[in-house]
Parts: sequence; structure tokens; C-alpha cells
Amino acid sequence: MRKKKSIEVTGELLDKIISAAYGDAGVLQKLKLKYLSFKDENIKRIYLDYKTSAKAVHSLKEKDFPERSSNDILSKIEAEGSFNSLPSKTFSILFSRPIISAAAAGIIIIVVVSLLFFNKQMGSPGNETKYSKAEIELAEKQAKESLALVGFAFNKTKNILEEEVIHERVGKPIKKGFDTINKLFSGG
Amino acid sequence: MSVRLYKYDMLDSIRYRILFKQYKNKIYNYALFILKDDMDADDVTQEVLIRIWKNMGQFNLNAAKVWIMKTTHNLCLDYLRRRKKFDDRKYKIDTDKEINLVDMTPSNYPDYRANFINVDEKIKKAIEKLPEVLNSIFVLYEVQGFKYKEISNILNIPLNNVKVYLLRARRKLQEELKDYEKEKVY
Repeated sequence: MRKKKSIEVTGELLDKIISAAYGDAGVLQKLKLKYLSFKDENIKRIYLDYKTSAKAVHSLKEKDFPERSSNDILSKIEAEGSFNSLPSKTFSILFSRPIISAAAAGIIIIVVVSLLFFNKQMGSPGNETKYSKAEIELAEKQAKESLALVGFAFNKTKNILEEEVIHERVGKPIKKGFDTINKLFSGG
Repeated sequence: MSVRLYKYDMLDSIRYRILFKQYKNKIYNYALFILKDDMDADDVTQEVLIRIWKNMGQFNLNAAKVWIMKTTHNLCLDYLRRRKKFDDRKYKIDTDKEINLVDMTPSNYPDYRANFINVDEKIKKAIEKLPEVLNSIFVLYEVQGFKYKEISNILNIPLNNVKVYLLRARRKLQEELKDYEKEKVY
């Protein structure tokens, strides 16, 4: 009976097997290795061993930094003064997630528009209320501050979306996908 | 919009809180892998987080990642030097030869022949046994998800070397895991 010739596992081939097992390899390389695994049991065994290790490594759970230590640092820094103020805490909650920023901005817009609408209704014929000059100036100042806050929130959200979310989490995977498709079509 | 009522303005506080939440566990876990000691890792993490606060005005959120991990790595090396374990651990980085390691079991860990609690513990111990540079690269790439370029900047190693060392780390880890299997059997 003719003996099946096994494929020699060179250093280069082993590196490719390892890259594929750890998820670094391109689509074509993975397909080639699948074909080689089908042909050669030794390659299949090596690939599966590395794949098992890779899976275990990638599922390692992160240990939490002790709460007590976190509080120690925060209390040291609190001495600076502005760190633990309510506005600071509020802003950090708002800007740690783009969706919360967007929701907060939406609520502010609704409140401002409602106030303006309500003020307009109050000012309509038959329902006029006389305001002093100081009251009008105060109302204008408050409206400007609210709009400035909204503008700031939008800019911040936009920056976070553009710089962190869209560029890192959306743009790069899409680009990688297009590159893979281009390679497949060009046969390279 | 900036309200300068205090030495650090409100925006610094906001940015710090975001960085604090994002990186405290990353710093802690990286220090744990390098130092293999909870208390030292805790100290390093606290030191890094304080340094981040002191340098808040000097970097933006995008550049923070590399700066933070670089600071963590350098502090870990300082701790290792202080412990004088560098003298006990001889290793050579040579692109033509395999990395040689005279392995020293850390004094605060039990005998490696003991049964492991779970797979996580087994993998962590195997990673900790890797030589220092391979350990750092492996943890940053596989466990913490940093890219080659970022690792190159953090560890001050050429980009191509990062890829080569990563492959070596993976091979070495596989050998370590096989050794554990053998020890369990015997």
C-alpha cells in the first residue's frame, strides 16, 4: 500500500499555522491551511493545539482593580478641589458614552424649544405679560447659555464619535473588509 | 468651554474620569502579569493613575493609550529592578537565536506541580513564565488587544521585532502548556 507522504512542517509553515490559529491570518491563508489540514493529520493536530491555546488566552478574564485602591486615589486627587464637584461628575457621566451625550443634548434641546414656545404663547395677543428690561435680558442670557451648552455637548459627542468610535471601531474593520474582498477578486 | 476656578479646570476632571474608568483595569492587569504580585501591581497602578492626573494637560484622549501603557511598563521595570530579580533572570535577545531563560519561580507562588484551580490560572502561569520581553508583547497584544504599532511605541521596539517576538511568545507558551500537561501526568 502506498504510504501517504506527510508535509514537512518548516519554521515558516509553523508560523503560518500559529498566525491562523491566533486569528491573524488573511482569508486566503486560512483556506490554504484548511486544505493542508485536510491533507495532513499532523498539520491538523498542530493547528488545533494552537487554536485551543489561543481560545483560552483570548477568553482570559480581566481582574478588577480593587475598589478600595480606586477610592484611595480619588480621595488623594479630590484635594485638588474641582475634581469631585457635581458639575464635574455630571459631565464625566455625560461624556463617557456618546449615546448618553446625545440623549442629554436631545433633552436640553427639547427643554429649550419648549421654553421658547411657551414664552411665545404667553406673548401672543390677548395674553400679553409685561416684563421688565432686566427680566428680558436675564431670559436672553439664560437662553444663550443653554444653547452654548447644547453646542458644546454636540461638539464633544461629534469628536468622540469621529475620533474614537467611527475611526477605530467602524472605519477600520470596514476598510479591512474591503481590502480582503479586493485581494480575493484580484487573486492575490 | 472651560471654567478655571481651580488649579485643574473642569474639563481636566472630566477627561481624567474617562481615562480612569477606561484604563485602571488594563494597567492593573498588565502590572500583574509583569510583577506577579498583587501588592506591587496595586502600587504601580496607583502611581500611574496619579501621574495621569498630574499630566492631564499634556496629552489628548487618543494619544493617552500609548503614554499610559508606556508609563506602566517603565514603572514595572523599576519595581523589578528594585526587587533585584533582574540579576536572577538571565536572558538574551538575539534575532538569530532562541531566547534563553534561566527561570526562577517567584517566591510568592506555590510549586507549579500543584493542581491548577482552572484553565485561566493555568494559562496565566504559563504566560508569566515567558521571558520578560515576550511576556510584555504577548500580554499587550493577545490579552489587552493593542496593535503592533502601539506595542512598538510602548516598549520602544522596532515594529518588525514586535511581530517576530510575538510568534516566539506563542511558540514558547505552547511549550510551557505542554510542560504543565506532562507535570500533571507525572
